[in-house]
Amino acid sequence: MIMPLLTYLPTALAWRPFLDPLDFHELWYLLLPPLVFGISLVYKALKLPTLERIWLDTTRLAAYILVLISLAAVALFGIVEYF
Amino acid sequence: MTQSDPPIPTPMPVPLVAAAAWVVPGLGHVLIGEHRRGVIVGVTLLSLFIGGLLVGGVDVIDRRQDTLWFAGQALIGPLALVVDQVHSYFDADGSPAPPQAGQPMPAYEVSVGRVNELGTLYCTLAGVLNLLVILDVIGRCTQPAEPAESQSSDERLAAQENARS
Repeated sequence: MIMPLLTYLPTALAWRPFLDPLDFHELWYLLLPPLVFGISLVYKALKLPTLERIWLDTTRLAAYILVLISLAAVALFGIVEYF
Repeated sequence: MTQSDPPIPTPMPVPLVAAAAWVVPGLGHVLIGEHRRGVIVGVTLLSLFIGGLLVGGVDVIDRRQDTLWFAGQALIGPLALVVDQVHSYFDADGSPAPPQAGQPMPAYEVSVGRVNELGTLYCTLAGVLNLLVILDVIGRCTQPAEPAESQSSDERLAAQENARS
């Protein structure tokens, strides 16, 4: 976890925003939680009649999705490796 | 909802509200009085789209090579069309070659692999979610008038707070 971050620093210094892609090839999975949270937030913003509990409901939905994605990844890993 | 239920009267015509929701994500909800909902949706969708551009660079918006993906990305509004034009401008002399020592920096760097996939996914999901937002705002404009639903959520919350105080 630490080493990819350390190797990422020098390339980040030469990064031109919007022109160059981020060097996240080793850390791509860190980009999933913000994406899932954004999808959950838009869904809950449209679905809830009032927005009092939107942050709690969004966090809960995002957590469910991430747990299910992780379980699916473990199951697929098992199928690929052992079957 | 029945055929005889009259739609909620809105100060703006439905096509205009839908067009506004496409031009600026969330603006449709703001126009019909759902200010907080519109701001949350707009900021989130634009963050997803700009986040995708930051992750994958301008290369993730490409109308000519990734036509199907672009169809989804274009739903976020004119911003996607502008980014595609910028990308096309950079590509006027062909896609840039990988950077080499002694060579001038290319206009942009082609993204590959997971970074390209995730950047494309961020931008496309932002567009597709904006389609849901547009459909939602159309639904809210045309839904039947009901006493409990005739107010926006912001107005209902304000009424509840006034009742408590």
